[in-house]
Amino acid sequence: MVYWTAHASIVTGSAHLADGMPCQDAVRAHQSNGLSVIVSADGLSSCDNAHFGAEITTKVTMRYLIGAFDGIVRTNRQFRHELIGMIRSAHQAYAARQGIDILSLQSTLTFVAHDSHHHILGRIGDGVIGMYDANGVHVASMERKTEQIEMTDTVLSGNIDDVMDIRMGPMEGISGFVVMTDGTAHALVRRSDNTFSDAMVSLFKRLETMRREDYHAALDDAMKRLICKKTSDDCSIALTGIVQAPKPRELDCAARLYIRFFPQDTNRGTVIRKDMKRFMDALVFPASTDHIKRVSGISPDRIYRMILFFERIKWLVRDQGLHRLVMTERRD
Amino acid sequence: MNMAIDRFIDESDLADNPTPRTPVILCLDVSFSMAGEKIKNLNKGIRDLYASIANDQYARMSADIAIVTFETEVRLIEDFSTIESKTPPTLQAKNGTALGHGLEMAVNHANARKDAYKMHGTDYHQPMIFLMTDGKPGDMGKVREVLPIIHALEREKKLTVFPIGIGSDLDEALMRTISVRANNMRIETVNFKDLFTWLSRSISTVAMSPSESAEQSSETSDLIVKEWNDILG
Repeated sequence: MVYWTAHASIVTGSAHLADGMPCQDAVRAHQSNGLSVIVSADGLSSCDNAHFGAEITTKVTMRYLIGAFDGIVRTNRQFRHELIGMIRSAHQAYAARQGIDILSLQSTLTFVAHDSHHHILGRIGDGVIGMYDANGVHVASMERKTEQIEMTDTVLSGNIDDVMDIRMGPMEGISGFVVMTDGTAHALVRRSDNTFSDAMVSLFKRLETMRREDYHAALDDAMKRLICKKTSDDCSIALTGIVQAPKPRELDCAARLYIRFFPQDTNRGTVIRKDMKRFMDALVFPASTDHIKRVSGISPDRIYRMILFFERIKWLVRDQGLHRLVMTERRD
Repeated sequence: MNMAIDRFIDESDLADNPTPRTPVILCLDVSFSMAGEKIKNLNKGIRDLYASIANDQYARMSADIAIVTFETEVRLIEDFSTIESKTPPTLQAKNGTALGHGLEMAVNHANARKDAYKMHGTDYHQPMIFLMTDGKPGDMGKVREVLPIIHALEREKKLTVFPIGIGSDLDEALMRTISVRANNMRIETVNFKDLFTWLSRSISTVAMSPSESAEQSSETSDLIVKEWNDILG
């Protein structure tokens, strides 16, 4: 059993700050019930309402993928026209409501959706999608630059079959995905050979071990302090990755600590340890007692106590693993 | 917490991509007719342009400037480089007006620069050539040869030539045919200050421009050309 987490971060570029313009990127990350979805969009700078367009694009894409992912991977069906049709309808409706030209809403799009078995990814325009495995981070989808660097395709571009890159595949060996707009790519992708910089590997490795809140704060800080300094463009990034699973020794420690907290629980340590493993394997974010009960078969009382236990030690299991429990027990 | 942030990623591990380049060639007439106030003001205009670009945080990193001069001879007196490694040249006026050969060298040099960008994986905006002349060309054969090449590149939006006529002793009909994108500008006052201020601002605009749609008519280079044509009324 592995645990997945998803993060997103966005920073307004210095050019837009200087002009008093809004950030024209939009980014979203979702992780629930074993499904992870990350989406980013970059509104075109020459479009007056591009920031609204980027928001609509990410919102519709996220909603669509959460609802349609299972059906898509089960039937292996084509979905690009369905998705882009929904995005364009949303743009059309917004443009009609606001009395604006739909072309003023243009944006690029990158997304990844995956569960523990399958992934699908898609890109329109100059964002970049990366895939993390045992050999490092590789470019999974990226626009081939033409002579006109200031031009890119958008969700409103003419023939969607020509401009949209979609891939589907299994999750074997994959430990993470990242989507980013071109501003972020300027700091994380080497243009000379279209490979990711070492910083991208660090972003995934930190994801494995850091607490969720700490990682999020550190990612925001790195985006503001380092990544956006490399460009005047808006920067956004979203990534999913595996959180380090607890080691057997850490589970032993956790079980012993649990018994100290709840001496009224009469089961032996080995049973507690087994239930704790089941509990963690069943845990999703946000935690649902019903789901854990159904998946793990643990009694509701014990589920309640385990939730209390992990709340009491202030660690979210799926973010932190249990490796710090060893140190805690020694201090005790 | 701060310790975690400090060790999160190392700045030296980020990609070190060059800023997308904005190649600009000043193609300048330094024939005898430019002597006196014209060449003096042109020299001052170039100095002001360099200073203006150096003071702009975006243009400074992006502008890749070269200068081609033409009289009877054609010379590349400043090769492409960013403003930090440049000192403004002092031009002297003499001899005839080989405008066609000057344009040919500017176009060839722009294309060669693009090839170099591609070879090194450097992103770039399309080149802009600013042609400034005060007289009639003495090499009309070469002009007729080079104009179709310029027009073809302009139609594909791979180049823009901005023609600027100085004074009244011009072949106006010819100047109107130099570019199919940008209208001919005529300067009567021999004062380049406003022109170079606009040029510096335009380079900054291009340097700051992120992605745009392939299908839009209002991409950055079109905006610059439109602004140019609007100025000319």
